[in-house]
Amino acid sequence: MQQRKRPLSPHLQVYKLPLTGMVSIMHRMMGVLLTAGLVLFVISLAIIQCGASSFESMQSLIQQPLIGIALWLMIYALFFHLCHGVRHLIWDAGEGYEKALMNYYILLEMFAAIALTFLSFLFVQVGS
Amino acid sequence: MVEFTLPKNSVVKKGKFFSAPKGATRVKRVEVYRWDPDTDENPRIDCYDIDLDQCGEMVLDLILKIKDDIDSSLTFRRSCREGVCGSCSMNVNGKNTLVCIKAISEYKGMIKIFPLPHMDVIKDLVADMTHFYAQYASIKPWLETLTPPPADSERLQSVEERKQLDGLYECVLCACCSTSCPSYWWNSEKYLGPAVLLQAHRWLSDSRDEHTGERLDDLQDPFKLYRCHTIMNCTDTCPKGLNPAKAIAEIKKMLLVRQEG
Repeated sequence: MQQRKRPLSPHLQVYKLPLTGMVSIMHRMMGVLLTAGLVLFVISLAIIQCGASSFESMQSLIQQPLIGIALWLMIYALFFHLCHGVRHLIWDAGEGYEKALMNYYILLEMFAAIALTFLSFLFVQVGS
Repeated sequence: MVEFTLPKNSVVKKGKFFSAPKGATRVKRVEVYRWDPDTDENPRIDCYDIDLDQCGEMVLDLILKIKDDIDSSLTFRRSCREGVCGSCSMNVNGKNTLVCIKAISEYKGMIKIFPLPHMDVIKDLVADMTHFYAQYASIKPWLETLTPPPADSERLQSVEERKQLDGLYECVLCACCSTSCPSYWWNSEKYLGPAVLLQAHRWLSDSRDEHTGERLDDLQDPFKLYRCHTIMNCTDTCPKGLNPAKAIAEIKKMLLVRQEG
């Protein structure tokens, strides 16, 4: 009798990722998004250096509330990516694997990223 | 290979429903993944209402109840019912565990039971472990020595040396961790996965083993070891409370130290 092809058991469809798993995936997606964002950043620099009128149109674009929010979300993403990157360095040194502290470290990363975003916000306010 | 969706023959359909016996007061709804190799049908989810007053405390008791009283064709592995044999590993409500040491009371609401994720299904909750065991064999899970054993005794260890094996020797190879790992899902043909790597570390840490160098040579491979991206699902899910992610990090560290030395 010919053997029927065995089905593959559900994986992503059923697995409930723990916080660490979610952050791991987010870290990767953010990496891709931030790279795309970097291209946008270079394009906007190129537009700005075209002269006063293009500078002003770029300025009014960025002052749109939605664009502004997107910009600050990206800055937050950048800092979160950085913090989780530091976490990876600590992991690679063989530390920070305690099961009980896994979620605590993630909260720490999130707050550090918020603090860094807030610091940059202050920096921008003082600068302007 | 990364594939986010299930192949056509693996898509899960709705199955049968079995209601609770009359007069049952404490009813628990249980959904179980079913697949029968003798039919041409896709896998399905059968739903059972179980009277908890007629059933034991553990999730395994629920499954046994179904097999004994409702549908004797339900197929699964179980043996020791105390978490030392590693047979009854399954995915329960989205997390892999040994169902014999998991209390029903730990789950609020419905309980959904699936076979270990991203494995070939032999029948119902029985996954094909052939490849997993072959990977285990590939790390030579036995003592490898060069020197002859002492003439009048066994190869002895100090208390300190024996302590190095704590957190490693307890692994029962249930494969909960390996099958929770997305990296293992996408690369299981080349990546050894957390369970086998924890075992590899167990033999690397054994003071009596004299093949540490060869073992490390074998593991120095972009896929076998370095597909671990510290996602940490393994440590999160291990029903024995072990830490495969840390064991993998220790191997990576040993390789680095060796390079510098």
